Amino acid sequence: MNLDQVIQTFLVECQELLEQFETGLLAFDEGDVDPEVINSLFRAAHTIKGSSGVFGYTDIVAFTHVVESVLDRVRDGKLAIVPELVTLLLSCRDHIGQLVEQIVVAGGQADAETLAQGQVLIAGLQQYLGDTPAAAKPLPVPAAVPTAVAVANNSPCATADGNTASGNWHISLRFGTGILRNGLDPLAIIRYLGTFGTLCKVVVIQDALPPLTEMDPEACYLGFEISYCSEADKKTIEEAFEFVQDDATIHILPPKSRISEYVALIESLPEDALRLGQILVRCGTLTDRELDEALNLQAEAHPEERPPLGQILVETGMVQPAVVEAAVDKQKAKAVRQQTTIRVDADKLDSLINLVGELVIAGAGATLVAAETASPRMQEVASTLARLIEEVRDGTLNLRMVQIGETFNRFQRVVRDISKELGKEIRLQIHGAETELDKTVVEKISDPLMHLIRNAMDHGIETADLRQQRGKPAAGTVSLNAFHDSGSIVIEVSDDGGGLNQEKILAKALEKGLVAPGHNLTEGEIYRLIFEPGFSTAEQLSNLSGRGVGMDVVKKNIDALRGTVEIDSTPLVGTTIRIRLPLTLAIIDGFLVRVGHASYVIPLDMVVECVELSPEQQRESNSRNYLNLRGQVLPYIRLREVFNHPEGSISRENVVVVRFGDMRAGLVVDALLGEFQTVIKPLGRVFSRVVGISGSTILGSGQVALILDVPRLVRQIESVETCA
Amino acid sequence: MTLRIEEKEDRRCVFIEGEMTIYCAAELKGELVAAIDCDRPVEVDFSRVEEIDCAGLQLMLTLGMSNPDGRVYFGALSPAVSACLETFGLSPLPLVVAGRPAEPVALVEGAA
Repeated sequence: MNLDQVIQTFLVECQELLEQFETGLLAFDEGDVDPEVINSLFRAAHTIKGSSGVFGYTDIVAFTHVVESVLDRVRDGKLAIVPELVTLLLSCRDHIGQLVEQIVVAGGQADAETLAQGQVLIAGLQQYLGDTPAAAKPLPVPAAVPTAVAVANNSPCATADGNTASGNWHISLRFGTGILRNGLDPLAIIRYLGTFGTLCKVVVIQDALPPLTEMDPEACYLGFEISYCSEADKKTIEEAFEFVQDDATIHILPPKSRISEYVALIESLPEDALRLGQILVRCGTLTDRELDEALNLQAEAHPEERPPLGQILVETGMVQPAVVEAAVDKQKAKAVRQQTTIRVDADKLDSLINLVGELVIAGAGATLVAAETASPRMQEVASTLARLIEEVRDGTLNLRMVQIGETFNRFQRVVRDISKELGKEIRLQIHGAETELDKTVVEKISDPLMHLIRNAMDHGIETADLRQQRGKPAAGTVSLNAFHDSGSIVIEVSDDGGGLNQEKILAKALEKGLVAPGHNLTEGEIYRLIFEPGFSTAEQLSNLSGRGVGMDVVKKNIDALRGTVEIDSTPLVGTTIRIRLPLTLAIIDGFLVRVGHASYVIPLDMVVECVELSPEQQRESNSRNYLNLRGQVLPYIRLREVFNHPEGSISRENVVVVRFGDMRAGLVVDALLGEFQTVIKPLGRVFSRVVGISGSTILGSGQVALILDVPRLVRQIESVETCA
Repeated sequence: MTLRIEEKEDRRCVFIEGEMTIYCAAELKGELVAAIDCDRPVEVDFSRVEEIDCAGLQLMLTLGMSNPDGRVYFGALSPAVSACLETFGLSPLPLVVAGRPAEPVALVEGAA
């Protein structure tokens, strides 16, 4: 077994559970006290603890155990969720994350500072348990040597912290006669139980014991009935009897209060064709072993008289009636099929997408060859092939798409923490959470967004007093908005704060020599100055922002993703920062054009229309590069000139009108060759600085076509025009 | 495991020393049967029992059972034996008081 792989899985799961934990806690802030959320919080802590235990990370187990205990009290209704508790639990979540980082990822021990912090948190948690720091709940970690055994015969089960537990387990044991000869000892087993629970009452059943003279000293005649109080789950308790289970009859009844958990679990299961017994196994009320026994009993009964499985289970006392009813309801009810997910290695996905890319190119080649043959059947087959390939392409690319909502939701925590730190009341609104984008893009956009949000909160949103003066609501709003637009995904970070101060920016830019005095800048250009390295108009530095090292890094990151950034701001009203990112990175729908002897691809999403450039229009616009398109002015460029093709005879020219954001422009080419599935092959590093080309592709004929970087080209056109 | 018999003035003292476990259970049973077979009261002393398991416990239990005339009783217990009895909620009643049995004894459930 590859331990690294398993640990990797553990880390990923831990991450997910911690996120689930945080999301659940933040929901309480909104005043949403849903019992299912509480259950999921408990389960998250419980699972982290259990998994950590498997790997022997005792520090993590110890800390998470206390968190779990507090959540258990909440779950039982003994503790109410108050804002202070939410804050404390959020800190605990961070602490667990740190422990995982230090112990699992770095592979060492938790450092002194972290441990000290952990102690503080535990002290805080124990207040909610009603504990003094000295007394701690017994941990469910089996001791190597049975040491102090918690035995309190005839006393109601009370845990060390003074709570009455939710009920006792009942364990019934009848041992086979040969058990002692096999080297097993009931005394040792029962002592072991006492290490992770309290043996509230043990009754020794001596009925089978013969008088001394007649007994076989090596045979076991004893039975035991035990009332047992423990936080451990059924499986752990059963495992105590692992070695004797073939030689003994063991019944373990869970304490009553666990039923509601089982019932709730049953109701949340997705509908499928499982029989009642298997549903109960999944619940944990039954284990596979007991189910086997029950099934055997059922098989032994006459087929005609066979009682329903549920009845057998109740009659043998294995399951409480309420649980059985719920399971039956579950089978009758029509439940929505829950979405199942499957974890996939990212590398496998990447190689699959590469293969699909090759498939697309090969398919294009096949279509070309099919077109050359005169056979209609061949062409039909090729066309079917092309269609299927397109569907496979779309499906595969979709695999890499994730909803941006996951990332957006993480910022709730950031906003909450920072608004507390700043002493401003700020809410985060999220729109368009279902918008999907490529996984790698999501990961890389997270940091820039974080910085923009921090900026908005720190510099954008004014203090409550100032806001009230300006007639705004005391609570500021930062909103995140995501949507698709012409082949790009747009993410907006808006705030209803004070807006950008143009004069200040200009003054600072002059001061720093970024702008020559007397140079007239448009509003957009002034705003874009804030992306210059080292630029900041903040009067006060905070540890959040203001040093001037943030915005240029943001811009670099966005550039690296081949995206663009624009700023919209109205003084005293607010600011919106708009980021545009390309939607897919691997395969796009392209529009093939020819200039001279070369072919170029224009991303189809950006193409608006194609127009023939008539000779009159050619003459008309020769000097000025403007086109009159149905009464609208359209700047254009000749790709021939841009890419320095030799002058040839120009018979007819066509204009491809492209759009990027609000900007429109025309690209003049020789011939239009139609739509084309384009597999993007990156340019080598040698060509990475070429302006106007964003990649290359291979045509079905084997020829290479260059993919135009439309945003750059359009920008170029725009700036040329404004300067002229 | 050794079983040592001391004849005292008013009773026979049977000292069980060492282990009372499955390994010596057969041997111990044989010797116990012989040791309690007499006309005098028999005090079984467990104060030198170092280790006890269920096999040993069973022997104690049958000792207590096979005693209709109350002749056999328990003497002092070692810590190991006390712990075992406590785990199972058993206690020998009554203990020896000043070397004289108070009543017929048997292992009884209940707090000591």
